[in-house]
Parts: sequence; C-alpha cells; structure tokens
Amino acid sequence: MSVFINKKWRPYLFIAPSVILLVGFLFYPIANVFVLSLQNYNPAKPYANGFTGFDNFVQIFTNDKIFYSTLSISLKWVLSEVVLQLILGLILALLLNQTFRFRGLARAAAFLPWAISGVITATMWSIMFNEHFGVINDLLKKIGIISQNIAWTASPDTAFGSIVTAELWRGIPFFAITLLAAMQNIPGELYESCKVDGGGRWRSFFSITLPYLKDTIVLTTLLRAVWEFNNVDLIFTMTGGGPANMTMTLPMYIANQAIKSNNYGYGSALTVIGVILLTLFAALYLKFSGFGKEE
Amino acid sequence: MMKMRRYAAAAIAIILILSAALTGCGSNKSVNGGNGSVSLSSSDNSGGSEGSGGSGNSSSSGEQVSITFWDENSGPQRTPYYEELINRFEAANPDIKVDYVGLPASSAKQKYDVAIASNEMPDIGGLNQFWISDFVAKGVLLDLEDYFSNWSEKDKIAPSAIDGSRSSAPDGKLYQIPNTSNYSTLWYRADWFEDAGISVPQTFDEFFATAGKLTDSAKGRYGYTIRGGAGSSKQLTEILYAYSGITEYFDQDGKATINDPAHVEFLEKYVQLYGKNTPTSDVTNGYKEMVAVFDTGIAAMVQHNLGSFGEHTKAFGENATEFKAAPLPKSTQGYRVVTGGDNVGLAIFKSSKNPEAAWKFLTFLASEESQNYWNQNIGQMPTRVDSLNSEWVKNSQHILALSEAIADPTTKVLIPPIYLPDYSSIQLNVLEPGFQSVLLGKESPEEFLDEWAQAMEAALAEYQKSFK
Repeated sequence: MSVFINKKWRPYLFIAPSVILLVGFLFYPIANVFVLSLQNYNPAKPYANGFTGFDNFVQIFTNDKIFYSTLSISLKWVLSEVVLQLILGLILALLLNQTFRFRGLARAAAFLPWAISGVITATMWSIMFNEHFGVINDLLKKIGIISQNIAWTASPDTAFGSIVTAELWRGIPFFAITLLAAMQNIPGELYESCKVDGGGRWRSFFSITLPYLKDTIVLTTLLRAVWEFNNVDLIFTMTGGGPANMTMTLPMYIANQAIKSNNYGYGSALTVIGVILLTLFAALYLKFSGFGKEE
Repeated sequence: MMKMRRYAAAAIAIILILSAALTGCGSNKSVNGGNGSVSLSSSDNSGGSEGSGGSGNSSSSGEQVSITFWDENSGPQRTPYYEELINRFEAANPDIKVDYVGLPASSAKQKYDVAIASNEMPDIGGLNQFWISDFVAKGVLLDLEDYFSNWSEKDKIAPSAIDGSRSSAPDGKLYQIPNTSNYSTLWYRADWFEDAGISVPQTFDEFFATAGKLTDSAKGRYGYTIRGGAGSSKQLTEILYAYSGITEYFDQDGKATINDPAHVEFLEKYVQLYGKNTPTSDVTNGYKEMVAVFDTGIAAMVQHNLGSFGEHTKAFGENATEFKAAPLPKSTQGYRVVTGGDNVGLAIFKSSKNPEAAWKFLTFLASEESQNYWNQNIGQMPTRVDSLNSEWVKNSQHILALSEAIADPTTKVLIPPIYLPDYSSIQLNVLEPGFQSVLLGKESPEEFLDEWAQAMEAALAEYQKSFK
C-alpha cells in the first residue's frame, strides 16, 4: 500500500480517474475511427469486411459523386450561420446591454431559443414552413406578398435559406449571451472618458467595445464554426439533406453512410477528413486572428 | 506566461474540436450497433409487460422463461396491437414472458443483418417473405417443417401462402409462417370521384387523366401525391413494374430491367405530374408527410399499400367511407403486375434457447382470434382461410378490392431483390436523391434509371460472389 502513500505517486493517483475517463471515452473512440477509416466495415456484409488501406479515401476523392458538393454546402452553411449569428447576436447584445424596464425579462426571453432541443426547434420550423398549413405562407398570403403557397423546405430555391433561418433562430442567443457577458466586463470609465474627449456612439463602439470583445468574438466564432460544421440534428429533421442532396452537408452525409447504410468504414474515412479540415481551420484561425495576444 | 496562455487556449480549442467531431460518430455507433436501440426499446416495453404479467398469475409454475420478439414494422398504428396480443398471450401462459422490440420498417432488415453478424438474434421475429432466402443462406433460421406438421391448425393457413414461404427458401423448406399479406394500393377519395363523376382508373392513361381532372389549385386540391422523400423508391418500383408489365427484376445475365424503355416512358409522364397535379413539397415527403397530404384533403389519390389503412381510418374518423382502396391500374400489356412476396410472417432463430416457447407464441399469433385482431386493426389481409372468410373481411372494402385483383388469373407477380445486402443502402444513397433530382428536372428519367440499374447489377454481382 506504500505506493499510495508515496509522495511521488500521489499526484498521478489523483488525476487517474479523469485520465481513465478521457482515454476510455475520448481517445479510444477517436483512435477507433481512424482505424475503421482504413477498413471496409459493414456489419451486414461480413464477407467483404477487412483492412483495405487507403481505398476508402481514394474512393472519396476520385469516385464519390457528392463528396465535393457536401464540402461546399458545409462551407456555405458554416459561413452564413457564423457571420449572420455574430452580427445579429452582437446587435441583440448591444440592445440588451442598455438600461430599460423589464430588462431581465427581455434577456430571459432572448435566450430562450438556446435552451430548446434541436429536434424540437427543427420540428417547430418544419411546421411553420409547411406548404399546406404553415404559418409563414399564411402570413405572407394575408399581407399580399405571395399568392401561391411556397414549399419552403422542398423547393431548391428556398430549402437552404429555410434551414439557415431556423438555425439562426437557435444560434443567435449563444452569441448574445457571451458577448453580453464580455460587454459587462468593459470598465465604464472608458466610455466616460471617450465622451469627455468628444467621441460619439460609433467612436466608442469601434474604439472601446469591439477591441474589448475581440477575444470573445474569436473564440465564439471558432466554437460556433466547429459546432455548425458538425450540426446534424436540425438538417436531419428538416430536410434530411434533400431535395436532391442540396442541403447535404458533410456530417449529414456521414450519418447517411455510417449510420443509415451501415458503411462504418466509409463513414469513418469521411469523418477523418472532416477532423483534419477542422483542425487545420482552427489552427490557422487562431494564428491569424492573434487570439490571446495582449495589445 | 503570455505565450503559455496562448498555447493553452489553442490546445483547448483543438481538443474541443476533436471531441466535437469524433464523439458524434462514436456515440451514434453504439446506438446503431443493432443492440443499442434494441435494449432501449425492450426496456421501455418490458416494464409494461412485467406489470401485466404480474397481475395475471404469479403463483403458477415455477420457472419463467423469457423470449425476445422483434417486430419488423413498428409504429404508433401497429405496436399497441402487438402489445395487446402479448398481454393476452402472457395472461394465458404465465410461464412465458415476451420482450417486445419494435424496429422501424425502414431499418429493420439492417438491424437483423447486424444482429446476425454479431450473433445477437432474437428468439422469434417478424420476417418479410423477401428476406427468407438471405436468412436461410446465412443459416440462422430454424427449420419449422416438423413443428408445422405436428400443429393441429396447420390446415387453416392458406396453402398458397405456405407454398410461397417454402419457395422463398433456397432448399424449399418452411422457415417462416406467413401471418399477414400486404399489397400496393391506390388509395383514393371516393367522395371527390363521385362529385366529379369519374370512376377509379383501370389503365395508366386513365390514371394520368384522373390526376389532372381532380386538380383544383384554387381550392388547394391536387389529383395525386408523390412520395419523393424517405422511402420513395419502394413505391416507385411498384408503380414502374405495374406500368410496364415486366415481372423479372434481373434477366438471366444479371442485367437489371429497371432501365427498360417502358420504365423510362412511364417515368417521363409520371414526373410531369409533379408540381402541376401534386403539391410542390412532395419532393421531400416521407411516409408521414405523404399520408398527411392525403388524410387532410389535399390530394385525391396516393399510392401506398394496405399498411397505411390505420392512419387513414384514424384521420377520417366518422367519414371513413370517403376513402377507398383500389389496385394499381393494369399494365400496358393488359394484365396487372403486383409486387408480391410481401407476406409477412414469423420465424424462429436457430440461436434461440427456448424454441418451444417461441413456437407457442408463434402459434398464438397465428391463431384465428389473433390473426383477425391483428389484420383487422392494421388493415391487411389475413393468411388463414377461416380469417379470410370472417365477417370483418366481408365488410372491408380495401381488402376485397385488392384480393379480387390478386385472385385474377391474369395477374402477375414481381419480386424485387430485397435480399441484397446493399439494397437499402442503394435506396437511400442513390435512388432517393436521384428521384428528387428527376422530379426537380435536374436529371433525366433515363439517366436516373440507368444509374439505378448499374447500382443493382453491381450489388447482385457482389452478393453472388460472396457465395462462391
């Protein structure tokens, strides 16, 4: 038992639980995905299973009809979500940072969408976008903007915009919360001295608020970009990647391959590509944004 | 210090990314390993059956055995009836406990495949007639010939159904007892047809004309609704062959018939209906959405099978006479082609430790009372001769309409190769998005059907190779 009392070993003993958990639930599954990516693995076809080297990757890059389109749709999805969520979230945070009556209530209401489960959000928006009884068609018809019902999530022109809108509704509060928290850490004296020096609202926003928010913005946009890239629940429920693969992002494609079609090897290879892309993106983003540097 | 912080932040960010990117796959794997979802639903349901079993009789025989039963097509309009049947069975047989596991129809074959690969099969399960050859080839089903010949009610099951089951097995033996039959159906709004003074289409020319006549966009009414989303290709297959009159999916050389010129011709006309005589959102409609379009009075006709009877009955309520069923129109060759082999029955797995208990449960489900209860509620055709002659069948318009068409001696049968391990993967990854492209005018019907044929031919070649 001396090993437990030995001073040298004691620290390792204390961190052992978390290390075991990390290895068991994080590193092992991750390593497993890399191993699977080099195999033909489909439980329904035991006769074809086995190590295949880089066959899956060769297939993906040279012979997969929709791989490149899933990449470009993923890029479009991440860009439009992160940029729009940031801008609208910033506006919302600035509004909620003002003093007004029922501010607490307004803040709580603004953050509510963030607390709602993705599948519920998706179902709710699907119903609102429904061609036959959706409230959006009903409203637009009553105002007189459209005369014929529109199949929002099924028409090639509107499907992508519809899912972007639904995800925006869910994502804006995240930016609003974190930016609002960061804003409250900006010392009030700075705004006062800006005023004394004759700076207006715009000046104080660009010279004080934005620089103070920079690190928060870099971190939240990075996190959000990763989350949005991996987002499956909303697209899965609203369009399933359709119509005709027009909303098929890479993770949706992975879900279809690995989960629905049992092609775990192929799905793992796609996942590995996704991980490499995201890691590169994160490293470059952190480097060029100067995250964590003090001015 | 500053530098440290920067690296630490970057490291944390990268770990977050890795875990976000990879845990998605890791966790999904466990859910879909075949057993993940299974244990979930079985624990859901064992709670219910335990309760009723306890109230039934706890003082009877000593040892209780439990058997696992997989339902290959679960859902809110079907599962409750199985639960009721299980309750009845457990009340009559307190020494047997049945663990019900419901599989969604769309992924049931895959769950079975995974279970077979990992040797985690149930004792007894619902089995589509299509799957028998594959499962027998894999050697996992129990030969039921002896059980069947010793069964006092063996003569009650329609001989044609038993023969169908036997002929589905490579060795001609009986591995599955058919319990219900399902057929492709044209559901239509009888009241709208009557108002318009038209009768049910007997040919495809009439079908296309009817879809046009019953469309009234001012009222938000359409003549037809196409399933364009999840599961679309099953119905598409059925209607393509119903039109062409072709009855073989592959010819002798392993060439698929799906891209036959007659199918191209049909699909070109069929796609014309989309957006004009159907709602625009049809392109992404799965089962639920498709049924809702018909059940809420938006479309006059929908092609599905007898299986959606329960949904229509519930939606129409007191106005249940407003919807009726008809077989698909006759082919251009003058006869009807029905996609057959759609008998669903019960099979016992070799791996079962309690085959006697499983057989007892099987015969209970195949009894006259159970077959009547089950088929009447799900709206499908019983396989027992006495059940087919029962009062409720005589009053069921949908069953009579279909059985008449099937009994017609000129009617022919198509059996699609659902036994191919890649069949559902092709449906999901090639056929569903492909059909959507065709509906949206981004791909020609011919290109799409060629792609379809190629995928099936490759899957057949690979499957045949695996047995060599």
